[in-house]
Amino acid sequence: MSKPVVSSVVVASQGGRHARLVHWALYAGLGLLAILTLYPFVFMVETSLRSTIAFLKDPLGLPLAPRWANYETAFSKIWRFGLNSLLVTGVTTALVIVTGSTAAYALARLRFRFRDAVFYSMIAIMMVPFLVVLVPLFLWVKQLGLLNSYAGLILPYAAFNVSLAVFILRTFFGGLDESLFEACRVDGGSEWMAFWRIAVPLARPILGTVAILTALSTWNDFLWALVAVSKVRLFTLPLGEVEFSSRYSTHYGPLMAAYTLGAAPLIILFILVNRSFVESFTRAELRA
Amino acid sequence: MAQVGTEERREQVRRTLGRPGPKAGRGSARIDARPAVASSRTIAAFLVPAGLLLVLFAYYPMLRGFSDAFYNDNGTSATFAGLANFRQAFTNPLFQVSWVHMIEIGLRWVVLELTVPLAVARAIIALPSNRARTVLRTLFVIPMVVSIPIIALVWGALLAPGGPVNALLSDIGLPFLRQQWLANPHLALYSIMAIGFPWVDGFALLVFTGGLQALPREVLEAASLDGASMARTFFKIELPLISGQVRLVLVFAVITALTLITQVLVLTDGGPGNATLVPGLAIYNEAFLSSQFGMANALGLIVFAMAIGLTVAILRVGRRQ
Repeated sequence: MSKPVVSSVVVASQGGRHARLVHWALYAGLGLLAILTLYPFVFMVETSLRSTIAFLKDPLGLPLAPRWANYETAFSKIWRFGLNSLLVTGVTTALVIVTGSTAAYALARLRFRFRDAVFYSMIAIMMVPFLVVLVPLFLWVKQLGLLNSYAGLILPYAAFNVSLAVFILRTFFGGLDESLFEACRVDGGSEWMAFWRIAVPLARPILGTVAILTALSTWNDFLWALVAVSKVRLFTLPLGEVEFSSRYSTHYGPLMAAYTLGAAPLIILFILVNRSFVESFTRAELRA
Repeated sequence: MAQVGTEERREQVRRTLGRPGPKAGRGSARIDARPAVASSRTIAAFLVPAGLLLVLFAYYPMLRGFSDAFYNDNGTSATFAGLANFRQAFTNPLFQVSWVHMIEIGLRWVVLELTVPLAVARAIIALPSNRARTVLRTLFVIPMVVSIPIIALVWGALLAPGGPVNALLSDIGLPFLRQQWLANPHLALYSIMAIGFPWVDGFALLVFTGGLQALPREVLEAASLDGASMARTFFKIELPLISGQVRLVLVFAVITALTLITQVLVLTDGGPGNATLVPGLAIYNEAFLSSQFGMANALGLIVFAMAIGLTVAILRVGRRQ
């Protein structure tokens, strides 16, 4: 975030001391809201380190001696779900990046009839909430024999994420200067080479953004996984967490440990990459 | 003129067999994304993979669903039923309850989404320290990366009869305010809405901070020079300037309310009784508990029509400026 336009203009006009008071009030208010927003996660972590009995006796108490056994229990039950999620998310993201970037490149830099129509029809699905497609997609995937399979999870995930990828990437590819491609074209290079040797390397940061968005939505998806998979060994993490909670419904200690194991990796990752994610997010959103 | 020059050079190169052309960048002063013409085989190769995915796993199922809405389909046999499912969707008391709940949630959710994140965004922008702005923004956005079931389940524990919320009420001397937040049919729906307190939605926050940040300096300076207070500047100048962002957040809030299902499915399953039944859950139940796929698809089609209708309305209103 660059210089605060609003702050310097509006607040400064009201005099130094007043401005400082306002700033302190803002810090306090925002700080309080931030604490309230994050409290559930703090609660989750602190309860994960307590024994269930201790929690039931005093729900607001702090962990006296961290009970790591909760994490052992939780991990032993959900590690398989984590692996499933990793596999599904990884393959989906790769699929989206590959198919999305080629389609976006053609839509941005190659000329053909109905180009615009094709583009709009590719992104139109973004207007359809997934809930609306849930049931017919289930019936269709069932008919294809892909229920309870990794493909049955991956392919629909990819389909529903590729639209956004095409949308974002087409804008990027379209903004590239034609001169970058001239040498290649004039040398008689194929379109594929232009794409692979020039466009893609230039697109690396934005491909990263698309990958992050796809991975995030796929990793955290619950509804499609719930419906597409009934065999526990194929459960993805969100599904596994719910399954775990229904099995261990009042064992709050291990339960919270399971939730923490599910939420922590992404939170940590997010904090690490947050600057670039948020910037590219707001940039993509502004363009929309 | 530069255009003509480059064209000539290109033609020259083409005529001279095998001679390498001019290096990229040199002499090409224009920013021109003039697309090239490639063979239809190449174009197909670029487009088909994504297109195939979309057609096979998005569009085809969607269209099948829309058509199935007009049938009495229970998985084994499907008989044409015309508008019967749609009539059911509004006359069956069960579904009526779900629409009512959806409206209750929708109205409140829209108000929350448009006020809290906006206020927080405006406050964050007004902070002098760049680092403070980044840190706070990050903190509020963190819940966005956690999956909804986990958030719902943690809140389920918070709201449990023996959980922290009730314990806090006892501790601060209000034990009579303790409730069965999720088991009390009068409170359950509100408890579902309460998830996410204090409702600083990360997405809305990002959209609003993005919009407010981009406001042109001159306009705000003019306002303060005219002696306008912060409040007046905000409501009369800043707000209209970010109407696009407000519309976007409104659309998202509406669609979220229309398609709500996960929190309800995970925490209350529509209960107690039907106190938390929402259209999303109704769709799920019709399909996966009652095998009434035609009915489920009809409900889905209705939700879709509402979503599109409201989205168009929201994006159109006020455009007349």
